[in-house]
Amino acid sequence: MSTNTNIKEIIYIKSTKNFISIMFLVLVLVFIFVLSVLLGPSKISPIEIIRIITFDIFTNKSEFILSTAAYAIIINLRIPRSLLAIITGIVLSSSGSTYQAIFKNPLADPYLLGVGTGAGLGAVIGLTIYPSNLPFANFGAALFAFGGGLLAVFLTYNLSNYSKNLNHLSLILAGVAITSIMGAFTTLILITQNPEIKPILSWLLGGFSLASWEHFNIVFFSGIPCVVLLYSQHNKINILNLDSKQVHSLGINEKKTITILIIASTLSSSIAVSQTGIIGFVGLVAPHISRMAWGTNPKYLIPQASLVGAIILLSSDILAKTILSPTEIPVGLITAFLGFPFFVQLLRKEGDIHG
Amino acid sequence: MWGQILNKNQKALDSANLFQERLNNIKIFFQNYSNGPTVFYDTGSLWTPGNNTLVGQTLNLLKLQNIANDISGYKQYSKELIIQKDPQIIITSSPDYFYNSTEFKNLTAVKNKRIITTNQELLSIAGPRFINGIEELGTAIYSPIFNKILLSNIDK
Repeated sequence: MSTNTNIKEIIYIKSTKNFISIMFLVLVLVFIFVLSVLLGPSKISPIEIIRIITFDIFTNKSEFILSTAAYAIIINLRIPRSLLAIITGIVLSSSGSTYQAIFKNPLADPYLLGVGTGAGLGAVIGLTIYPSNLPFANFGAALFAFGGGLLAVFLTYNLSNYSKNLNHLSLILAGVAITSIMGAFTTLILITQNPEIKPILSWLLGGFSLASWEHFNIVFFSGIPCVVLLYSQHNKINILNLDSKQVHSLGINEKKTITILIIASTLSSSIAVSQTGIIGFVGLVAPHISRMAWGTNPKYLIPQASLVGAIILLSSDILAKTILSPTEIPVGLITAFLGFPFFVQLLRKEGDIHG
Repeated sequence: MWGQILNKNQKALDSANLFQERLNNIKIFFQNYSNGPTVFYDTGSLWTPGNNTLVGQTLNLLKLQNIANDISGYKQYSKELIIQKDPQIIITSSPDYFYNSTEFKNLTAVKNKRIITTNQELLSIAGPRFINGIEELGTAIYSPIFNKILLSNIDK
């Protein structure tokens, strides 16, 4: 009897701990969000910013306020840009943690599986057929990116199944192969089709420098349903960590569940890629940080990793838009610089990174 | 040098002289002008030339005030600063991007429909045709008064 109460107590303590950690992460994220709205290359005083935002929410918008540069900068640039960074962080990290769980592989993330380059190839094809200066180009690029991303995951997964002894390594090797093929096709298209190359290049570098509400809406409305779907499956994701026989004995259709999870993760991450370009490291690092800090239960891991990812990406973007102002730096550069030492430190502390 | 290679020294010299003359005409014309309108020169995805570039110098020659004169080389310019500095003229190969975006709809250049599309290829190669690019840009911005210079150039 006493062991029973002990277990209950442990579960209770664990869930409180996780709850507190999530609240803490939310607070940090809100703080950084405020910071990212306050900071930017153009100097606008915080009082002015508060005035603009309260005007926007509470009053009938007078023509005068609407036409000021400060209004356009805060409402139409900084806020959508920060929100886009948050939602991209959430999408990349939650699909990263899902990939890692279903492939039972700590190295799986949207980029190592080829989704990044696959989506990149799709978007480049989309932008070549339908150049970026026409209306709805972003939307078209998103659709093509999803196609490319899905194709890449499908190829990677099947290629790794060819391997005689299926293990963690074969998936990553397949991912590397697919990534380089997709990258080669992208270069081929850039060389032979002569599309307008500047927008595509700056897109390939990745970043939020061109962010607008349109980009945010596309990522938000495709990403959030997928993230919610992933989260609703957290019990099944947890069970998928067991081996196939055990999964079957628990009455779960492994293949069907995995297919749904892959489609949801791929859809959300490739559309994020289509709107923000290739931003590495976040989808890999954020789930690892959360796992090491708070444990592996997907019920908490998905929200924790999402918040960590959003925090990393948003802080990186603050640096990207301010340190070399008036010039923009690709945010992917910052995430790599920030993520790498952090990751090395974590690896050194905990040799075992298996989730 | 091409003149020597092709054994057409005189022709090369003529062409170089003509280039210099056309350039001088423009310089003389703008001597009496103080500052012209502010411009943002977009080469795609808000990448723009700074002061020390050939295009930056062309803008100076035409007395256009490049809003990106605080950068060197070609860089991607921050959207916020484009809005804050509010250029009177935008030079770009994709005007629809500026006309259709919500962020830019209150820019002076957008409101006054002063978004100019020129043949940017002429200004991207530092060759004999570069002067054509300068003249084209000048015409597009200062249409009636600039025509006089062009007429005087054609005479030669």
